[in-house]
Amino acid sequence: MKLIVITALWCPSCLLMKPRIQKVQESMSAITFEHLDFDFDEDKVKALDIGKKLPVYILYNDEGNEVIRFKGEMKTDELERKIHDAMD
Amino acid sequence: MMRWIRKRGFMIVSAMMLILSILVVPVKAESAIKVDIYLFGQDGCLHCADEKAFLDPYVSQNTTVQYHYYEVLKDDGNAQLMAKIGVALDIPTTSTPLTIIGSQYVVGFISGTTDQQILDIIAYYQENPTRYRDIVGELIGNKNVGDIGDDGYTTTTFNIPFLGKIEATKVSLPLLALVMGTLDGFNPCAMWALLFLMSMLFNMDNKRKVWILGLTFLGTSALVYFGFMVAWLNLATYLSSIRLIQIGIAAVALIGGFYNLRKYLKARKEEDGCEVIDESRRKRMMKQVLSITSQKVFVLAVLGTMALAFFVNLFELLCSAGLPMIFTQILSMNALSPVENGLYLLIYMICYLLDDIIVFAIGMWTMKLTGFSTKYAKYSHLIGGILMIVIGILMIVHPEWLRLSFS
Repeated sequence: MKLIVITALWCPSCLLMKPRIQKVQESMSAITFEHLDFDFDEDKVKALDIGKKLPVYILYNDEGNEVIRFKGEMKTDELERKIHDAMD
Repeated sequence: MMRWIRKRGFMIVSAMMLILSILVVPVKAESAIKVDIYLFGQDGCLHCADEKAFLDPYVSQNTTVQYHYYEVLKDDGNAQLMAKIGVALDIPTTSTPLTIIGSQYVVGFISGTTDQQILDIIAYYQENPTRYRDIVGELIGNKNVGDIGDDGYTTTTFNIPFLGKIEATKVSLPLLALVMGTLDGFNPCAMWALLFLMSMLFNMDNKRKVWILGLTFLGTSALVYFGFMVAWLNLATYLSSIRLIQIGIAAVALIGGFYNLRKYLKARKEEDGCEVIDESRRKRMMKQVLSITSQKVFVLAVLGTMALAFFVNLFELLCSAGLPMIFTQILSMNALSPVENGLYLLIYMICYLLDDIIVFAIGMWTMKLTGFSTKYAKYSHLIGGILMIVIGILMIVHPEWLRLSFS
């Protein structure tokens, strides 16, 4: 499974989420994390049509199909739970 | 419901206290004497003419009041008298119109605001005749006025439900500067530019340059915003006697207030996170930041940072929904001295930049950018919206209630 995380350098919420995402990444070795920057990875981000709120998380299954997408600030355990629920 | 109230209790109580501190009811006092009004003015002074236009019919209809006009620009004797009164009462005599009634004074004149203040003073002395002392009359008669003492008059006594009488005016303007500046500071544009600039600068691995460019950004932001507010205050002071202008600003406050409430109601249902700003503006900002960080000549990088801060803050003024304009309008309605105006603008300015200063300081301390939740910005729309609507309504219905501070 793969989780795409889209953040931006100018976004305070993204900076807040950075260490939390890092924690989740370390605890979920079964998932590959891909970090995209809203401005510097513009083409990839545009193709994902993420709307106007950051940060954005999109989970894909092994077949490459999108399982779930969610956005915004949340606590580490909430982020973890959302991913776990989607995996189940 | 209880959970909602518990979670937001502090914010609700703060908003209510703030509104109560403005929506206060002046205490009415409880046999009539002849009161003398001394007006010091200048020929050609717009506000002096406005005050004369107010006093002439008022005095002709009220036999218990006498009014004396002294022109101080062309008549040295009158100017000297004004200075003598300034020393005796320990009051500033640098601006006109200056109105003295008993031992009270009023600087400036704004229809709907200062006229009410003059009537309040006259009413106080007529209701408390033993407190009245014609200080100017004594000075004109070359009497030694000695210790003037306290006549007990204060327009700053307010009745606040549950709290009783409160000396509110001394705190109202600083409190308003603090609240409005902080609310304005939640505006994200400048913060985003600062974060982007700092994250790019951290890659340069030159702490000295990050310090200089970061402080240049903050300093220029402060100067641009302060410059705008001083310019608007000067304009507002000149135009504030025009009722139509007051109503225009009240309309801006009401529109801005409803706009903020709408933003809050919309954001309330959404996740907390960063709103992506308009693409062309974001790209222009990024291009400017990248040209600063790639600049080989450091002086040009400093100039580029100043230009970035200038344009970002100019835009920020547009998305502040009129908060600085409303605050300067309130200052002009209070007819304060230039020093007092500067002080209140400074309080506003510091609060406006506080979040940027904190982010910059922590960033420089840790050499790592710290994020923060955007949920506070959401509540700033709620509090800001309510405050702007209350101020807008007061500007139309009871402008004198916005006279928050007296010397």
